[in-house]
Amino acid sequence: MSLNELQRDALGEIFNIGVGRAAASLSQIVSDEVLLSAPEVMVVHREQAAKVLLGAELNQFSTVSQSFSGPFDAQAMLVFPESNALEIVRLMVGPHMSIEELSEFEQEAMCEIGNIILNACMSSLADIFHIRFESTLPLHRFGDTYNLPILDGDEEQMVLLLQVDMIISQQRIQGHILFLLSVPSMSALLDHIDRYLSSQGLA
Amino acid sequence: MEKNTHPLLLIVDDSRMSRMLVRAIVADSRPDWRIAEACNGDEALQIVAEECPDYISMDVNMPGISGLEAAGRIRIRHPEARITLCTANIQESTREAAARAGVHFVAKPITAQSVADAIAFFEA
Repeated sequence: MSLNELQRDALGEIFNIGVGRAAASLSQIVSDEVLLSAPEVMVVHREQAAKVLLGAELNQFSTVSQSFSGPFDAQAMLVFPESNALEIVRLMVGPHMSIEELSEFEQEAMCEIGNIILNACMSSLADIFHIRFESTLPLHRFGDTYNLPILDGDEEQMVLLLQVDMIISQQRIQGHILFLLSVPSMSALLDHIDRYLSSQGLA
Repeated sequence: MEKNTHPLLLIVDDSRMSRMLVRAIVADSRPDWRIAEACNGDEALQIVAEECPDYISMDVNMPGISGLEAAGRIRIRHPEARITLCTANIQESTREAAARAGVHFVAKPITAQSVADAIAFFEA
């Protein structure tokens, strides 16, 4: 299953709107400008997604995941290199906390960041397609490329993979957003994209 | 050769879907407008060098120079061009930067309403 050029473009633009909203929310939290972009959408099999993450410079990750259910279901996951995660938390809570205090706060802060970014992306899909999702609470975990949840399970799943570039207070942070979808869910997503494009007279 | 009296709108966006959406909505409500497209800021500057559009709809986050920078460069040479920033970057800092650059801010997603807002600015 693959996306044609217009479907990929549409999905990229919808997520672009989502991360734009997330950046606005995060900028209110850190009281500074946040540049957040998701330049490219890739659709890959689960094993390939792991390889992309393995190709990242660091292989210790901080992840936040949330499940969304609706006309199609997705397990959404925000993945940052672990060293970046602590930096994001420091930027959120200010420079006055010690490393120990920051570490204590990390789980909660990462859940909040994940909640903002993942919900912004899914809300963008929901608004454009006029659909509704229910979501679980965000779950924060540490992991490496060998025990990330995307490697688990037998079910054939597709992964929508977005590289995220975030710049807060001159700190450049690269992460990934992953959406795991079963084949029927991916097919339902593509149907929604096609219906949307068709309703706009673009397909 | 006589100058074409039909207004020229330049749509600058790296998303093909966004360009198509703006084009479709504008063509519907302003069928006499001429429409050109560019997929990044550098291409926009090349088009502007040949014929300065009356109106420009400019995305911000694109490969190469940002839409804000492209808009700023266009405004220096063509202060009469009316430019909207049509962007998903809805932060206050971007709105302020748009105001400083003398361009109108329109938040994505692109809808009939957001394009109508841009058209109202162009024609004001």
